[in-house]
Amino acid sequence: MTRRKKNLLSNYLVILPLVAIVALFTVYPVVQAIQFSLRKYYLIKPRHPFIGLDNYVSVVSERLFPDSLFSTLLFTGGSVAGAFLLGLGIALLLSYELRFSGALKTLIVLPWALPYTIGGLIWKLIFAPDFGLINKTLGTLGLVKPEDYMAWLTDPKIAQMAVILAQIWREMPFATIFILAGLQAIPPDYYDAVEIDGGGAWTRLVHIALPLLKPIILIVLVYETIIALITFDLVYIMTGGGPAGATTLLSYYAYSKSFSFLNFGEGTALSIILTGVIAAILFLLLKIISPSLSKS
Amino acid sequence: MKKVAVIVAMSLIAAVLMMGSAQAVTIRMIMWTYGVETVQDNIAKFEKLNPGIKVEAEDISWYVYPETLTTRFVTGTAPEVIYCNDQWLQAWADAGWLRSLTEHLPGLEKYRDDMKPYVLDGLSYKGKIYGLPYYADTYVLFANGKFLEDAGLSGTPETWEDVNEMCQKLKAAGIQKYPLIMEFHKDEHSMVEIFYAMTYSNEPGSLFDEKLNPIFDHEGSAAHQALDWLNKALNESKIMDPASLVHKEIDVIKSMQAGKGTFTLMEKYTLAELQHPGSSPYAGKFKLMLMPGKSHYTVGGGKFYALTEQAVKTGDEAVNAAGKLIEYFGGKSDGEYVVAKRWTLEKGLGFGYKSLYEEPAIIASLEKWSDVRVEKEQEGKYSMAKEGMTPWFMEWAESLRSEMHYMLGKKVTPLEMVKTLAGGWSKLKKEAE
Repeated sequence: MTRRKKNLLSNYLVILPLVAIVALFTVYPVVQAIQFSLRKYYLIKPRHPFIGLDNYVSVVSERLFPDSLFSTLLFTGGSVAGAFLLGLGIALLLSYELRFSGALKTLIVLPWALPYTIGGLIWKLIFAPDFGLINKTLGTLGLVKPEDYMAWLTDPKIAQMAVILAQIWREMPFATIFILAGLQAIPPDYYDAVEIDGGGAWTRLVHIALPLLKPIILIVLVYETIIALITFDLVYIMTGGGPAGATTLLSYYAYSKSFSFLNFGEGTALSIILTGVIAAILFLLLKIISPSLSKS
Repeated sequence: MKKVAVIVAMSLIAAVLMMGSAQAVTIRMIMWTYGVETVQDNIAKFEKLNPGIKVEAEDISWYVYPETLTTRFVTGTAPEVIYCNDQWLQAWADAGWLRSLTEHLPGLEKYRDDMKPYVLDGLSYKGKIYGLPYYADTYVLFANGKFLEDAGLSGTPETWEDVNEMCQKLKAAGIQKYPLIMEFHKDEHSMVEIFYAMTYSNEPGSLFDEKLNPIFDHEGSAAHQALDWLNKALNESKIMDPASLVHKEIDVIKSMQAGKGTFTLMEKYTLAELQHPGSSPYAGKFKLMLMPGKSHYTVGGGKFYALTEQAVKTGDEAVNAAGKLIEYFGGKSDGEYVVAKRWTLEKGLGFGYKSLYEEPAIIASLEKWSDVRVEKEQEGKYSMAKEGMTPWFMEWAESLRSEMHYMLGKKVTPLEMVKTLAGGWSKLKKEAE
C-alpha cells in the first residue's frame, strides 16, 4: 500500500466512529421510517406485513390530505413571508443607533428564547374565548359585550391566521438578528456614495442593502421554510389541528396517524411525504434565488 | 475495641435494613391525573396494611393517556397496574398487554355479582373480568336551576326538542346568548360517550346488530337524529356555544360556574364539582335531569384498575401484590369498599357496586348535590354500556372525534358523518377478521 493510500485509510478510520454515531442518529431512523412506511404497522398488532406503497396511496387518498397539504403551504408561505418582512423592517430600524436599542434587541429576541410550547400556550390564551387578551381588550374598549366574546379558534380561517401569526412572532427574531448582522457588515462608504449621488433611504435599501444581503436572505428564507414545514408543537398546543382539520399541517397529521390512531405505517408514510415536500420547496427556492446570488 | 463494636453494629443494622427492603415487592401503578393527593394517601394506607409491598405511582394527563400507555406497552416499560377505560380494554387485552383477573387472580371474581351491569360489561372481555372498578358514571343532562327560574321555566325537558325550546326561551329572555355548552374539544374522549348517550336517548342499542355490523348509517337513525340535533344546535338555532369546540371538561365546568351556560351533558360526577359549596355563586342550584329523548336511556361507563402483562412476566409475587393493590383500591378492605366510598364522599365520583346505594353515608352525601331519585332511575332503568367494544374500537373512536368536528364545522352533513363512521367501522372489522 502506498503512503498516500495508508494516510487516506487512517484518516477514514479516525472519522469512522463519529460517522457511525451520526449515522445511528440520522441514517438509521430514516431507513427504519421508510421500512415502517412500507408495512402495515399498527402498534397494537403483533404482525407488520409488507404492503408496498399501500400506506402512501391510503394517506394521499384521504379527504384530509389535500386540505392538510394546502394548510401546510399556506402556513409556510404566510409565516415565512411575515417573519422575513417583519424581521427586515425591525432590523432596518435597529440598524440606526436608537436610544434603548440594546434593550430593544433583548426584547426582540425574547419570543425566540421561549420554549415552543410556552409560546403556543401564550397565543392560545390570547385567543381564549372567555378571558383571552383579544376579547378582554375589545370588551374594555366597549367594542363587544362579554356575552359576545368570540371563540376565535373555532373559526377555521381565523384559526389558520392565528397559527401563522404565532409562528411569525416566534420566528421573526431569527430573521431580525441575521439581517441586522448583515446590515451592520455593510461598509458605510457604500451609503456615503449613495448620499453623494443624491440618493435617499429607498435607494440605499434597494440598491445597496438588499443586493448585499442576498446570501443572508437566502439563509433566512431556507431556514424559516424548513422550520415552518416541520412545525408541530405550536399547532399541537394552540389548536390540536382543528377546527375541522383547518390547522392540521402535514407534521401534525403524521403525529396524529402515529400516536392517536396508532398507525405507524401511515404516520411514517406521511413523514416521508413531508420530507419530499420540504425537498421540493427548497429546490425551488434555491433555483429562484441562487442565480441572482451569482449575478450579485 | 470500641471502634470495632460500632462498625459491627452498623453493619448488622445495614444488613437488617437491606433484608427488609429486599423482601418488599415493588408495584408500579400508572394513573391519569385526578385527585393525585387522594391516591397518594390511599397508597400510604395500603402500604401500612401491606408492609411487604411498595407502590410507586405515576400520573399522566388524561388527554394523552392511551397513546402514552400504548408506547409504554410496546417498549416493555409498562407498570404492573394501570387505570384503564372500557374504550381501550379490548385492544390492549387482544394485544396481550392486559391480563384478566379471572385467569390470574380468580379470587377477585367474587366482586362480579355486585357490579352494576354496565360496569361489568365495561370491564369484561370474552367473558373474563379485567379489573375492579375505580369509578363508574353515566352521562347525564343537568341545568342551572337559577337561570331556568329567571326565564320562567319549570319541569324537565322530555325530548331534545324541549331542550331546544327551553334554550330558545333563555335566549329570548336575554339570560344567555348560548344556553348550551358541551365538551367538544378535539382531544376530549368524552365526545364519544356523549354521541352514544344522545343516540341511546333516542333508541338504546341501535348502533350495531348482533354480528357487530353497523345499522345506524341511514337517515332518521337514532345516531343521525342525535348528530342532526347537535348540528342544528350549533349552526342553526345557535343555542350551543361555539366555544364548545375548544372546551374540555374543566373548561365547561368553569364556564358553568361563571354562569355562561344553562344546560350541559357530562359525566354525573362533574355535577358534584358544580354543586360544591363556595365553588361558584350557582353552587347548589344545578338540577340533575332524566335524559330527554324517546327512551330516556343514556350510556354508562366504567374506569377500572387493571393488571398488566408486566406483572405476570415478573412472577407470582408481583401478581399477588398487584392483586392486593387492585383489591384494596377497587374492592373491599376489612369488608368495606373503602376507596370507592372515599371517592364518592369526597369527590362525588360514581361507584361501580350496586350495594353502595344501601350505605346511609353514600345516600346522605348524594342528597347534598344530586337528585337521588333521578339518579337511581337513570342508573337502574335507563343506562347501558357502549356497544361495539372491540379491539378496533379505539381507532374508530378516534375517527368519530375527527368526524364530529368536520360535521360541526359544516364540512360534512350529519348523514354523511354516519355513513363515514359506518364505512370506517366496516373496514376496520373486515381487517380484524
